[in-house]
Amino acid sequence: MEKKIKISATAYRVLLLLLQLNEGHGNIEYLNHIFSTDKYTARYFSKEVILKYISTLRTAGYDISKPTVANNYNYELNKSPVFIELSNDQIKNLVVMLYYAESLHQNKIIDNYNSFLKKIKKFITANQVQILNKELKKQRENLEVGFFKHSHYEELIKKIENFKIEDQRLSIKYKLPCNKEEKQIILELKNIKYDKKEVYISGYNPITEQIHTIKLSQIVEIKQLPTKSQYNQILSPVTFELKGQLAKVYRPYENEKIASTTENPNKITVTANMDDKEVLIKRLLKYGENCKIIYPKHVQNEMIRIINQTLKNYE
Amino acid sequence: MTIENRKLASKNIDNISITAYRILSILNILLKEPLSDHDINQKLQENIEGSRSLSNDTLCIYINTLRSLGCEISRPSKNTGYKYVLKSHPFKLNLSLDEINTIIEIRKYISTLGNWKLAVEIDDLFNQIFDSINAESKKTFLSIKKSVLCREVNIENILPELNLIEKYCTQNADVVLLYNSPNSGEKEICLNADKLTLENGSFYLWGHNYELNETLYLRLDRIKSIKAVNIKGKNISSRGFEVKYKLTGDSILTFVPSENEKILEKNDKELIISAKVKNKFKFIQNALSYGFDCQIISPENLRKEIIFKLKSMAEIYNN
Repeated sequence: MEKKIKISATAYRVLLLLLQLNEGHGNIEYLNHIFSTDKYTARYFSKEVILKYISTLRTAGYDISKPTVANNYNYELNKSPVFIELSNDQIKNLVVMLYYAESLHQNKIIDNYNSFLKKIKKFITANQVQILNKELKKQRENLEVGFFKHSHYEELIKKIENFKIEDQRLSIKYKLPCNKEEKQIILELKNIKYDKKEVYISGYNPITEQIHTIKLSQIVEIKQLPTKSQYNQILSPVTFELKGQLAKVYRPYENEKIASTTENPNKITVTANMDDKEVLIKRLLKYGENCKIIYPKHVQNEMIRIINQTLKNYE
Repeated sequence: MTIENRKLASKNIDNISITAYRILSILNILLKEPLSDHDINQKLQENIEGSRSLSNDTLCIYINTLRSLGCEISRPSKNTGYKYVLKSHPFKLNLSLDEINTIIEIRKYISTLGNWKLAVEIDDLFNQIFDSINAESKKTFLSIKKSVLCREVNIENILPELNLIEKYCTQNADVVLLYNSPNSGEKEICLNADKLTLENGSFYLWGHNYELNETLYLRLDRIKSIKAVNIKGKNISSRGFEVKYKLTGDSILTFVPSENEKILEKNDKELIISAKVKNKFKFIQNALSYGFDCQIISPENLRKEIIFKLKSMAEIYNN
């Protein structure tokens, strides 16, 4: 039989409250819900009792916000019981990250980062919060011209982000520079990607059953269709073989795995999932004769076509 | 650092739970340092006006209350100097999945930009925060990091050398390195150090190799040691050879000349570019990635090399 350990039930509830307020916030009803679902307390308490517990925490030095209309009558711990010790440089980099978050122009990323920053503020001293706030102002004033390199796509990124939330199929008209005629594609949006120069959207094309990536700079028109995305297809992976030095040092990309190695350390087989086939082929071309696409046949044929057409450049 | 215990006057105990207050005080004390029964009693009496000494049984109940909430507190023993030691506690930073995804996404973007110094600093920040997040957040963080930053080389393995090598680059020093080449195993390489870069998650040291008369770039995590340094090395980064190539198609729009390239001719259909090539291998890789959008115009030997390479590539599909 399990030995029953004696504890102080009231203190347990106060500590449980502290734990809850440290991880989030809540109004009286929510906090009562926590008590009722906890295995030790398992009951509801009057509002007066909960206020007494909050008063105990405040008396012990915990800064707990007052419930107001503005904060939806929530109680929130403004400072955690423990602090993270960050250097001034680390605080500075928390701010640097915020500006990089802003430079991606996605509300979700900015909101999530601000929420992260708000939590961090609870875990650093008041003095460090002051340093952080000063740094926010200072760095914003000193941002290099061109820091927000994707700013000309800001509106489009936000529009696409909203489309992603609504999760409907998109009809996209885009234009390639080599070909003046417009192309049209139906996409089930997957994500927005960035590199040094460009912003892309990638999504599943239900007609070709492939993932496609389109540069924002090429988009002429983008609109929502009344059909819900059904992106649950299992895409056919691309399998390729690598040999030589490349096989020895190869580090798989995201959504790639080394499917098999042979006794010969100079040869490996890699399976790439969920990748834009065009982008993948472009990368695999770099590997030259050390790379062979094994599967599927149509991707292999595309590779052969590109190689042969490039050879024609030199005839 | 923790919350400072406040001195509690007897007039302030009306609307609080005094037992809970005492246990919160013990938590705050133990967060700072390990303490014995006697020390705890003494500190409580200092903090609470009129407080009497707690019996061992009461103290045991208080410690068990903290344990029931998830605090790991060791028993006082000879090993701990008969002190209670708070080994871990649940009052840690709890990050949501969205927050973790976001900070890793930002770190990935910084890596994409090739800003190696900032990437190193952000990793240092993450390490510091990682120690203070709760177990569930840690698990999520590691799993997302493994998946999203899968190609990032673990900086901790090369951190001590990083600042040193950066200094050699600033000085354009000649360095002799012991390098673990995947092709030929460990060997000594002499370089006139030029710059450090972060590409595809790996750190590279660039420099001119006198023997090959070519710019080499070496993965930092493969450098075993720095054998010798001559800081009187000359900056010879201007060496290289001229290549003229043509770009067509979609590549025209995305092409941004690097510091060693300039556009000679430009029209709606093609770009003629002149490049000073410092590393032939890297140039050929880039040229191949353009596919049929790229044609080498000169020099002839490079044209022949590309043609040979393309034929070898075609050949592997004929077998």
